[in-house]
Amino acid sequence: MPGRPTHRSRRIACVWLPDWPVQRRRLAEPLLARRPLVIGAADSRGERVAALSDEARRLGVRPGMTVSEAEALSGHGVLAVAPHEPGADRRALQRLAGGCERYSPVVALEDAPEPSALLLDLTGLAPLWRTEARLLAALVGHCRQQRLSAQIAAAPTVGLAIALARHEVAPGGAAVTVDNSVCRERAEGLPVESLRLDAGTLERLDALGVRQLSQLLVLPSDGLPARFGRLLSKRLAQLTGEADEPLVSFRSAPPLAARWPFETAVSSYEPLRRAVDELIARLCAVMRRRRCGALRGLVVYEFADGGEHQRIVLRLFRPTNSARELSELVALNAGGLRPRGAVDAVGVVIGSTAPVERRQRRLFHDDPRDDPHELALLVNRLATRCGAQRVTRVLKRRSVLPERAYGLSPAVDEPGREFPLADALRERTRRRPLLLDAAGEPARVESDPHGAPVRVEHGGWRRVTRCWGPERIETGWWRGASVRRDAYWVELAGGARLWLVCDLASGQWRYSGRS
Amino acid sequence: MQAPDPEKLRKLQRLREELGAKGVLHTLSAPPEAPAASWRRLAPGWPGPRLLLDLIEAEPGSGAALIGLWLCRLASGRRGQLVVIDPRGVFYPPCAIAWGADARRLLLVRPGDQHDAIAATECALRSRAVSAVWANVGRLDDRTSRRLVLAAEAGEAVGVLVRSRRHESEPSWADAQWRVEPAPTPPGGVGDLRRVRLVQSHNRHGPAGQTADLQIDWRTGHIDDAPPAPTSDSSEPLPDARPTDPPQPTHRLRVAS
Repeated sequence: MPGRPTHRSRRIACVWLPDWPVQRRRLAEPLLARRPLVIGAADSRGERVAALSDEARRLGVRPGMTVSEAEALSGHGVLAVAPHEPGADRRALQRLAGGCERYSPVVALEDAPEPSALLLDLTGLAPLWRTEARLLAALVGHCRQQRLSAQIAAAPTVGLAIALARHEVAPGGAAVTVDNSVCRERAEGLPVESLRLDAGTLERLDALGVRQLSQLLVLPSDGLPARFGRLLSKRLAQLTGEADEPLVSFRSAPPLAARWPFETAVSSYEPLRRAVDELIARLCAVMRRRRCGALRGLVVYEFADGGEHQRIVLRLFRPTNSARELSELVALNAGGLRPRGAVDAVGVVIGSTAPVERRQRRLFHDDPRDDPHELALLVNRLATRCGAQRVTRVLKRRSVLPERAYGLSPAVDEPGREFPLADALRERTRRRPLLLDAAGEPARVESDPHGAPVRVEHGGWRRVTRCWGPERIETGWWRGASVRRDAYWVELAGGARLWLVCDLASGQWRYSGRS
Repeated sequence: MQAPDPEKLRKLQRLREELGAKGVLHTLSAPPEAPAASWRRLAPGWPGPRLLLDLIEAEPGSGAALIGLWLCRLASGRRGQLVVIDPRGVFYPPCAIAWGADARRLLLVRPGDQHDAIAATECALRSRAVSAVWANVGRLDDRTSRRLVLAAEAGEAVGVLVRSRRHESEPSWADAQWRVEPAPTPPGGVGDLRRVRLVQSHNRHGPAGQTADLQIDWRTGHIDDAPPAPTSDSSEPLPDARPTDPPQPTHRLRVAS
């Protein structure tokens, strides 16, 4: 029945972590705690501020600003810049969600490309804590204990809980609570930005002078989709509880686990491989029934001597429920089937799963190099063998320092991105060495009074026949400790070309690159 | 679902092959530039897949890494991943992209040790998603070298190993091994143009010993057959001329270390 509230009895808590990428970075690096910090994300036009700390905000830095502008604005060496790592942010949020499971059996991440809020289903849980206020106070205390800056709100709907957490602050950092009876009244006082709409819709609403939800809620709901799109109507209905918004736990399913205890301790390869394969096959059969595949897995060896368990971590680019693939990944791992001692029992745990895409059988064999499944297999194998952090995609960064002009992001987290280079920059970058080692070996160099190299000790003293440079590499004052280097391409008597760099402060020459 | 008629399938496949043979599909997947003519002579089967090439750097700065990248780039065309195995962590991706590598299809692997580097190279060569592998690996024994060739034959990629001169004497099962020697810029030459000489030191499919001179153009970003070097130049010393000391600067030199 339209207009009838369907979920008045639900209670949802939202834990919003403002500037989550900044908080996550500061938790990982406590030295950044009081320093103005911005998170720089590379796009086609350079590196822009994606998130920032309050200290940086007070200096006038704003999201969307280029990092160079932000550095210039904040002053000499004041600003710390960290790279944007959405994959690491999401993983850290999932770890926090795991910690919040003591307050609710269903904890979900906000449905957003880069979530910064946790949602807890508190329906029916208040009696366990005597009152909901006590439960929320415990949640606030938990966040403080984790050194998190969080805004918490509880409401009958997901939409209202998120809106209140983001737009209302209770005194003393307590949780904001809205009873089921005053749901609509509280919603009316919120700004339209609380509806989780796209920028285009917000602009159209602003142009019409609609800034509060009270203005929207009095409009006839039938006409809204035609003027502002379906999303606005959907969000309004979710906010007021007229439409359902289910919470999907960040754990898509409980972890799957299987264990194989040996009668006597085993250290040889074959029985161990068979046991691991058997356990993987069992878990894959379960995943196939659930139509999901493993994203994260763990193989655990329990040793006969009672020593610490050895764990083999599997991180996958795309989910799979193929026993052959998973067994192969375990075998590929450097320590996969080579435990450090006699094994008493072996266990396999699938910690994270996701729906598996069904692959359409193709009529013809298209070029396999374009097959995303083949790419996923490759990334999974390389990441398992070498470590997920060592298999990377290249991101563009803007810096005058060659070694800082790019970033690396784990390939398991994201696909390759464009790295646009304008013609002039492309030509300049071609003149950089393909093999670059900024902290290369020290070099002994004879130079003329102008500083250009004349002879180089490179397998004996060798004459420099040609020399191009210097290319002055100098960081601006806003970068903090300044870098001043002169780089030269030199051609030695035999024709070999080396990139020599002289640190102007110390006079130290280094072999910094070659092609 | 009813199974497709095999006769119709065969007919469709034949039509598709005919269409491909007329160049329509090939044009779509052709690399942007044709490789230097020398490659066809130096690498049997070039630029087809399932090749393993071994580039030996005659000395640091000879240009082997860049030549290897250029080969990978030509082999990868517009499809498949270009996998770079860089255990030393010195590969500079912006330069590779400036030389034409596609960042969306560039997978940079920095293994922790030599064993992982070999395993990653083998894994990448075997993958059907990869069109080219550039690997800066060190010592290869007979067995490892053979493993890599088998991996290349099982996959769809061209593999280019870039190694230093001290590995030249090791056994190589690669389809071809070249030594990349730097060549001095001729007098009056432009600094943007750089010459290198490739000497085929091993060929699994025939006699070795062929050479090719290539020219690297930093300005346009192309590598092609080098034009013949000028044979007579007034600034060149005569062949029987007494070697002279290099010109010394008139001022005192500063030595820094």
